[in-house]
Amino acid sequence: MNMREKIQEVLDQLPPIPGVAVRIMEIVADPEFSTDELVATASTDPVLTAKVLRLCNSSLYGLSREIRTPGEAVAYLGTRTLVNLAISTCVAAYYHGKSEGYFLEEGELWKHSVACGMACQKLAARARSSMRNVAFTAGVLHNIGKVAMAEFIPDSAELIRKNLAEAPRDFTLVEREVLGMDHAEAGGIVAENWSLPEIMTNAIRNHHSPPDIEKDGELTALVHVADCVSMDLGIGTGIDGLSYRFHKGALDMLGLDQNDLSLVKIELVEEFSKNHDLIMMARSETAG
Amino acid sequence: MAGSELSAAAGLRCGSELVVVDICSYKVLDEPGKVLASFALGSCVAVCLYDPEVKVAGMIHYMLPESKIDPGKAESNPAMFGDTGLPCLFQDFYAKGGKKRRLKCYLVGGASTIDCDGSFNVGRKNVLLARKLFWKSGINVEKEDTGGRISRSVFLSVDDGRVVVKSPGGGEQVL
Repeated sequence: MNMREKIQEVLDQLPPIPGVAVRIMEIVADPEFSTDELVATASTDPVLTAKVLRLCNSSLYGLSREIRTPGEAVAYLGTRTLVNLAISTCVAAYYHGKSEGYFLEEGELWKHSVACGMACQKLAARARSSMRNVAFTAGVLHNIGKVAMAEFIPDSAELIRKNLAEAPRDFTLVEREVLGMDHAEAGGIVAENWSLPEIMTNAIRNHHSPPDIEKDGELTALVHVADCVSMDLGIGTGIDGLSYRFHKGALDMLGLDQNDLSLVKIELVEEFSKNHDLIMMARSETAG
Repeated sequence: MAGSELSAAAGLRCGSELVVVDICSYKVLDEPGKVLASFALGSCVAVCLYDPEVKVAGMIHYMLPESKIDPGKAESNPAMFGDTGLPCLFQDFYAKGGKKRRLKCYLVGGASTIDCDGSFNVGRKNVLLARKLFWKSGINVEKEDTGGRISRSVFLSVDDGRVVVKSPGGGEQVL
């Protein structure tokens, strides 16, 4: 069995994401979605509901009253907060343990994913994109392929380092040469296995692929730029560091410029720092 | 990361207490046994200052070069930007007894993604801003580890001014 086949096997064995998360993604992918339908869907999974309500009622939100239902969460914290907490709770389960392959400390890959989700949402708002409701989810899922790839990297770390030292090369190219697959393609396979909506699958699979970014449209462009913003801030950067090609076409497609990137960074650093405890709490919620 | 995890080879004393300098902040210390640390710099820059005679150490971790993009933020948090944060760092450093004539200054960070047309070159701009300010003020940079595509963490010992730079999977080096 070659390396690619071994990775494929691990990808196929990754437990499926809860169906309710996929349904939530499908609902909010429609810009005209019904809040009632969202609340009804979120309420169908009592375990998820309990976890989300615990986060809503944490001191971090500072609410003066107790939130008892997903409907109340929407009323007091907004639909996007409900969606983001529900998806984060479902996705965080895959980010336990160290990602030693990428030389990341415990929790770092999760932090990078959430930062990318937040950056996606901020860029979408600034670009007045119709993808605002799915932007966070796409960002938080964009590196799901790394979860499966991580275990194969340590044995090849020396070769990867040598490869990177030779010339400024995109890390996905190095992954493909050394391991036979890159983490974006791996993430696309996971997204297909989970039957995620097509725009989500494309954004995960193509977030490092400029020709596909042009073809896919805004969500993939948002994830590409948000990923670069998060890397730039050093959030959850491992052995791959910042070794990824930035595609300006993605920024142009969103109608944004360098100033927008700086302003998004300012907002992101403040929001990330303010919500750091909540981000880590969402991850620990999944451990129980 | 605990202080004891720092490699003895790097010369930072085991058991040293780490004082983290978060992104968009700065700190100046003169307490023995402490180590200033900034993690995962990415395109951000850390400037380290040290006066070996009075053992005063200072570090800033700034994110963007110029404050003109958001003067309000610069007012509330000058350490977010190089042009407003660096003067604050030096001011505190001198206030704690550090002297310019004995100053040892180090520059770390400023990495960038692979960017063919320069739209994402904040790392380079962050480094240039510091160099320009030092040149204008007649300050020599003792050593620097900047640019490239690696995210660095930097440690500065109050005891002896030793500066250690680490990167994921890339080991560590004493500057």
